[in-house]
Amino acid sequence: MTVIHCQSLTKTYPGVTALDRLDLTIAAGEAFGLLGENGAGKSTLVKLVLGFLKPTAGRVTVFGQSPVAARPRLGYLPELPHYDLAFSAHAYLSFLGSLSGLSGARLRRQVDAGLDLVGMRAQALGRLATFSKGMLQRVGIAQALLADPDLVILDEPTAGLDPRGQYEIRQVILDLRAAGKTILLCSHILAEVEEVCHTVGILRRGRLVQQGAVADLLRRSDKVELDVGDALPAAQAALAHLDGQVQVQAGCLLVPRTLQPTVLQTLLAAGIPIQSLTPARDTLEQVYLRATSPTEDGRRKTEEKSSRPSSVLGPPS
Amino acid sequence: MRSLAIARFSLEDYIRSGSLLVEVVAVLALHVVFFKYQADTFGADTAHFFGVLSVFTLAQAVYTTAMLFRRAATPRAYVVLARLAQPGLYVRGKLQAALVITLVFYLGTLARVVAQRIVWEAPARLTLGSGAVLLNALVALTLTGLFSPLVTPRLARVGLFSVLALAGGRLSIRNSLWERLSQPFSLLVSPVFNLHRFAVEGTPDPLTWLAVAVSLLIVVGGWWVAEWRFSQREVML
Repeated sequence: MTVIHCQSLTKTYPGVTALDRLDLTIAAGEAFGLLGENGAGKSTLVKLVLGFLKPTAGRVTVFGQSPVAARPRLGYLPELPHYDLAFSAHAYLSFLGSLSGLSGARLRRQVDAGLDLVGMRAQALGRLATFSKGMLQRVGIAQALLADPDLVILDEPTAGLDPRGQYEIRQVILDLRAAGKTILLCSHILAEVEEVCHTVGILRRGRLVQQGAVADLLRRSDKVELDVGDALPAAQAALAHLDGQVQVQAGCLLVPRTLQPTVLQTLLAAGIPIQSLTPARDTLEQVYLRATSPTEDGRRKTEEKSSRPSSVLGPPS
Repeated sequence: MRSLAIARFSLEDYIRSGSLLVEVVAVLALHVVFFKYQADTFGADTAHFFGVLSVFTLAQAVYTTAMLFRRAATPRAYVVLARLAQPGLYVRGKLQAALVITLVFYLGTLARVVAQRIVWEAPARLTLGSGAVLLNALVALTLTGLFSPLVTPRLARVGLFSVLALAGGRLSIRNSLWERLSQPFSLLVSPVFNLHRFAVEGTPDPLTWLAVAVSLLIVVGGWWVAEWRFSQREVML
């Protein structure tokens, strides 16, 4: 089942195209990481999915309906902790819960459960104005999950949290994922996205420049990783004639696929034991940096130009 | 029910913010100047009471609504709106909160003035006069909410204020061209003046009931348009 569907979604502000013909589908139970530099269009996309903004062209549906109609099934953590600071965490969550259709004992139960989840039960009666940024972030996460939403939109959920806080919130997100919730996660912390998300999309200047399953994006087709254990110096010596085409990375040999038979034969001939041979993996950071590099922009533009149908007669002069 | 939850929360927020203090001080000053000093010195009657309170309540309704809507148009609204499949309820909640504050201040002032026997009149006269004052205040708070930046874009707001100025000007500026230009718009504000006169004098004229009907229409229509308009707008706070 499709939860979020964007079709040629375009949003322009005066003089700026924030989103440019974006096609995106997020399925139920999928944890989707949205990456991109500041100003890439992430916040605009989130606001379109929430129905705060309207598309200039194209369309977006959430659970098959308009974003506004789907709001009761959403939980949203905004990027910045703008909350009503004059209230206690408990009073504020109770108010928001009542807007989500909760009442009576169920409301009290959900509020307590939300505060427990983010480790804020002891501070429930404290005024939000006295909370640190990290504490506000925890309250923000609690409010997003208050009504047990089917789709959770988290904009920088671990911003402002200390390492333990980041770890705890990541566990909360992983629990949501395990519970089959659909997650749209915007984050600049790539390791977090890599750990938490099934799929990622990288936005650059309003366009989705890369999208796919995390496992697929990180798998490199051109290199394999060879682990020779303690015999690494001997292996390097045996492979010296390959003029540095074999690199060492994290205690393993990084071998181009084209050289794989040669390297294996050489190592076996030299009596060096091979402990494992696996396809090499990139980090998400490497994938991200490649996708958002200026040279990639140039390559994409060239590809777009060459893929345009050429006119038989040419333009009128 | 959700709009009532928003109204209740907005009231609490308004009280905690300290904005209410301005109104409390204004009401106390009003009481001291117009219903204590002036009544002791020159005497006061029901006409005096309604004459002063009609204008004050209208101004207070505008202030309260403007303040509530200003507080509503901040990024804090995102987590609230993200829960509403009918965004118009947010505006309705704010209008309800403004109505409650206006009512409480008016009834408080009335009760104090009656308790101190500064004004002592037949209940029917006080009830009808109060009805007219409150209906005017309701029109004022409706239009303030409708024309607030939260609901109406800047350019449309300028246009609407121009229409109101044109309409109000017709009643005070005597000029044949102005009168001809503003005639269609004066319908918008003449009920307010008529109800003010009715509150002060206590006797209806043939147009008073029409003024009541037009005012009710403005209130009901204004709330509906404000909710609809807001639900159609993009939210960029």
